[in-house]
Parts: sequence; structure tokens; C-alpha cells
Amino acid sequence: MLWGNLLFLGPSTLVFLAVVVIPFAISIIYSFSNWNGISNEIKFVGLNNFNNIFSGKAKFLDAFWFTLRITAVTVLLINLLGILLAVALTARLPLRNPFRAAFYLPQTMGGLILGFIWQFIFIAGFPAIGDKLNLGFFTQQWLGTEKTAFAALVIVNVWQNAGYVMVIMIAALSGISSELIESAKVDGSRPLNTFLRIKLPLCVPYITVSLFWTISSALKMFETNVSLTKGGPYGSTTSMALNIYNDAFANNKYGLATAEALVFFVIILAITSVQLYMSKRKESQIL
Amino acid sequence: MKRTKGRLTMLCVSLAGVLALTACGGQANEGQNSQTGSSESAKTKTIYIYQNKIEIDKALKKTAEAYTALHPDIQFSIESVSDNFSTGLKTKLASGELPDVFTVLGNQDLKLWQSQLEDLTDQPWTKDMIPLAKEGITGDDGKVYGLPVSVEGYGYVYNKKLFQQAGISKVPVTLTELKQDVESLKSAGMQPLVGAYMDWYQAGNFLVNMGIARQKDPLAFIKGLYDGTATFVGNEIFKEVADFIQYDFANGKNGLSTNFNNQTTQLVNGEIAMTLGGNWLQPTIDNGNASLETGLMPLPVNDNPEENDKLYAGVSGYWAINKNSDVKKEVKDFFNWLVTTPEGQTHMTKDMQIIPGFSSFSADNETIGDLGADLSRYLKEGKVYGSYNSYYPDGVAQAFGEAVQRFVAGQVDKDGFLQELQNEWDRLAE
Repeated sequence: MLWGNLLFLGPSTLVFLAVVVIPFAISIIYSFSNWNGISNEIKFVGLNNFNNIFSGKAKFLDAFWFTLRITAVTVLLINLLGILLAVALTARLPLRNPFRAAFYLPQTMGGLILGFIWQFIFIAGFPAIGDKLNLGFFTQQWLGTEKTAFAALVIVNVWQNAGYVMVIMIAALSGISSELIESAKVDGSRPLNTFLRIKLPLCVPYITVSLFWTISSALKMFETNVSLTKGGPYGSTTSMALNIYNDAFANNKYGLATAEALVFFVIILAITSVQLYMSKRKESQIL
Repeated sequence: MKRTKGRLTMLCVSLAGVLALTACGGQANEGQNSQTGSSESAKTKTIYIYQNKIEIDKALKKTAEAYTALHPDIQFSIESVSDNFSTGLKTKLASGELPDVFTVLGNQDLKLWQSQLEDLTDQPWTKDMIPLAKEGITGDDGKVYGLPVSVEGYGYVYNKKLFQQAGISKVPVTLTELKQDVESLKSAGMQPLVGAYMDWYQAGNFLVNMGIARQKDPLAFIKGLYDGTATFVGNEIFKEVADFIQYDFANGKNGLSTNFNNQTTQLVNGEIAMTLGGNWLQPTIDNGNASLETGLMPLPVNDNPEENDKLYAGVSGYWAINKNSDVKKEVKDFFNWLVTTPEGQTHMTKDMQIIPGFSSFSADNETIGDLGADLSRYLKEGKVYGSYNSYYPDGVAQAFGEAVQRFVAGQVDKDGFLQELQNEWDRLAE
């Protein structure tokens, strides 16, 4: 019995050790050093890297604050839009399936490519439209100012991810038993009431999943960031992941970057655990 | 017990499957190797080159083929990457696949990589390297670690036809002349300038370098920055450069949402009269709009013609040899052929269209195009400032670029801008 279990657990445990646990341990060691990522000399500098992070010297806190803001905005919009789309596309609409596919499509493209396409749209496409129609909204320098670059990132992220939430929510909504809806109707509940009081509460487990996924992916935002704004203008849209990448690969501060990555890991772990705990509690209250 | 047995069988079956698969893979590989081994001579060697000048990729491959024709036992595998070149190189190092030959940028980058590089001091061509090329790749130990690929220079790239139409007969060499010309371009209904301020790259590398290169002794100034005896703050030369940057931005259009592609497109389509750029734009211009006539002109920041009639030039990169490579000797032979034999030199100047960092042979004026010819002329007359970005601490160019963006966006004033340059240097130099 023991050998049998070991045989089955052994390989996966070994792989897990080799590709997760050991690299993680090594990165903890590096985070106390000033290694530049290349040379053979590694000097240990104690808590210096963490000091630089929390004293604001390493720009990590700026990136953290930016990431928090954009996470709050995108998570809200992605989930709202995703639910709205799901509701609309579970109704008996003509061309329902093509619409579902169209809204899901951006999700299947890589973030890097999306970023480049949208960069072109913001730089060349929007001004062209604006010039033709004489609309100031389109001719502004979308990626050139702090606020509009933030908005641009929000637009692209919402457009990319709302389709995914939509798919989850469509599954949730179509899973609700029609008998329940029928009886609500017989009892005189109006559609909005049915949606808010019956459908939405039944969808809470799905919403938990959507929230978890959107929050953790927004916190880890990297590809759209690097291809759309490159953190600009003047570094105001640098996400935590991009900041770590810059420190590791552009600034050759590998030790600092691993320290930042550790802090990054703890932050994501904390935020998503709190979210999961609260959503689960909500679930058990409702269901 | 029965269940365990069932699981065991399943595991065994899957393990067997995996083994079979890997076995097949191994065999296929072996097959390939033996094939190449038998068709060529028994000891074919492959030189793996990883370099960052994407525009010479084709020409370099052609050169490599020519060399293989002469030396059938040498094969090449060439990979050219411009974006994220150094990230890729570090990844290759980390995975133990450091190329035999790769680009090193000189100075700071040399310090970073020196422990991995082969000493090339005894190569016959090192004595022919021009001083500008040699100082960048000489380590603190006095040894030479790479072969200079190309001298590159920048200034304003200007459109000759638009200049003519606006009635400008000669390029401006003082700030006042530049301002007059910008006014006449404007009154002729043309867009005088455009700057790619959305990317940190040009701002952080080219614009800030102007301030450093114009110091009396740039290397001493940089040394002073490192040990804290020199500062950007209050430096008169940097104040002039800051004014110039602001002027360039103000007379451009949508600078902060213009990137390199966008800037190049406008230049190639003849929509703008001047833009910051260098001789590396020539192949793009030739491909995009061969009839476009361009030239390279100085970036005047004050009214002293002698100080301002100069371009900025430097060696863009060096090819260095991995000291742990198995084909060190073969690479050295190839380098030798490339820069000391007429055939190799022709490949460099005609095919790759580069301006060599050697005194033993010079660029081919017909192939390097208008921009290269202008740069070559300024180089010959000695009217060039150096490029010092390879002396900066890692990451400073990007930080400088972001400081320039903040400055032209009006987030900080001139003094604040210089203070910020200083802060970023201090932050990243430690």
C-alpha cells in the first residue's frame, strides 16, 4: 500500500520539488544578495533589498499603487460587463452564438499581440477617426498622458477579459433549473426581481471563481502592459510584474528583483486569500 | 489490494509509453546527426552567433554562406534579435546555452560580461581599431574583448526636398539658424519636427547623451558622477540641452504618443522635415521610399558654430567570443577573414552597409547611402561628439528617458529635470 502510494505520488512530488519548491527556495536566497544575474560573484547584503523596497527607493511601491488602482477598476468593469453580456446572450436573441464567439475571441489572442494591435489603434487609428469626424475624444494623445494611458490599459484589459467572465456566467445562468424560474414567475416575480433575488444568488459560486481569476490576473498584469504602454508615459503605468522584469533584466539588479518578486507573491497570496475567504462565507450564507 | 494492482499496471503501461516516446526521440536525433556527419566531412563545426543588429541579418547570413563555401567544415547558425536582446542573452546564459559569438555593448556591458569572454588582444586586427572603437571594449585589465561591428552616428535626419521647397539652402549649424529654418518650414505649411518621445529609448540614449558628450572631458564628468564630485544639477551645458529638448518637443507634433515606428513612417512618407535619427535608418528609408533624399545634420543647442557643427557617433556593439566555446579557434579565424581580407571587408562594407570601426578599410560611399555618407564625412573631418550611454549604470538610459518624458510633459521644470537625472543616476549607480 505504502509503496503503491509512493509510486503514484513520487513522480509528481519530485516534479513539484524540482520546478516549484527548489526554485522558490533559491530565489529566497538570492533576494538577500546583490547578484546582477550574470557574474560569478554574489555578495549577501542582508535585508538591504527589502529595505529599498519598503523605503520607496526601488519604485516598487509606485508600481504597487498603480497595480492596486488598475486592479480595482478592471475587476469591477470586467465582472459587471461579463455578467451583463451573459444575461444578454442567454436571452433568446438572433445571432446569439456568433455574438458569444465574438466577445470571447479577444481572450484567445495573446496579451502581447493585443497590446501591439491596440497600440497601433491608439496611435494611428484613433487620430485618423478623430480627424475625419472632428472628434476631440479620439484625437487626444491616448498613450501620451498619465490618465489616458491608464484608461487605455483599462479598455484593453476589459475588452480582453470580459468574454471569459461571460462564458463562466453563461454556464452559471444556463445551469439554473427552469422549474425555479417558472415558479418564481407563477408567484408574480418580475424579471429584474427574479434576476436579483434568484438567479444572482445561485450564481455566487461562479462569481467567486470569476473574481478570483480576474483579481489574480489583474495583479499579475504584464504582457498588455509591456506591449501597450511599456510602463509609460514616464513610468506612470508600470505594473508590479513589469517593475520586477525591469529590475531583473534592464537594471541588472537580480537580487532586488527576486526580493520584489517575493513581496509580490505575498501580496497576491494575501489579497486573493482574503477575497476567497469572504466569497466563500457569502456562498455559505446564501446557499 | 486489487485496486492497487490495477493502478500499478496502469502506471507501468504509461511509464512504458513514456520510455518508448523518449527512445524514439533519441533515435530520431541520432539519425539526424549521423546524416549530417556522413554527408559533410567528419568534423563539421557550427558557430552559433547571436547578435542585435537585425538590419544586417540577411547580409550576415550571406557572408556566412560565402565563408562556408571557402571552409566547408564550418557551418553557421545565426540569430538576430533587436528587442529584448539582452534579456534573451541572459536567459541563454541561465540555461547553459551561451552562444559562441554574441553582441556586447562595451564599457558597462563589458564589465557585466567580461568573466565570460575570450581575450582577443593578440588578434592581428586589434591594432587597426580606431580609438573610439578600442576604448569601449578594453577592460580595466587593458585587454581587448571584442570586434567592433559598426560605427553609428546620429543628429537630425532631414528631408532634402522639403528643405529646398522651404527655401533653405544649407543646413543650420547654430540654434538661431535652426529656429529660422523651423519658422520658414512652418510658413511653407510643413511639419518641421517630430520626436518619438513615447519611447524612452531615443530620449534616454540620444538626447541626454548630448549633455554628457558636450562636457569638456566627458569621461571625467562620468567618473565624477560615479564618485559624487560632478552633478547634473546646475550644469550650464545640460541647461542648454534641456532648452533644446523643450524646443524640439514644442515644435513637434504629439511627441508623447509618437513611437519609433510612427516617427519612421512619417519620415519615410515625407511628412516631416526633420527628426532625431541616425544612419541606421538608411535601410528602412531605402526599402520604404527609395526616392526620398535625406541627410544627417547637427543638433545645434547654442550659437557657436564650431561647437555645434558636429554629429554624435559611437560603436553600436561588439562581437565577443564566449571563452567556454568549443569553436573559439574557428571563430577567431572567421573574424580574421572578415576584417583583414579584402573579401571579408567587402562583405562588411557592401553587404552589411556598415561604417567599420577600423582604420584599415573604410565604408563604401555608394552603398552606405546619404546618411552614411554624411556621417562618414563628419567622421573624417573629426567633427563628432562621442556616445557615452554604454558608460552609464544599468537601467539609467530608461530612467533618463522617463525623466525627459516628465520634463516635456510639463511635470517638472528645467531644474527639476536636472535634479531628476541626478536622482536616477544615484539610485541606479550604487
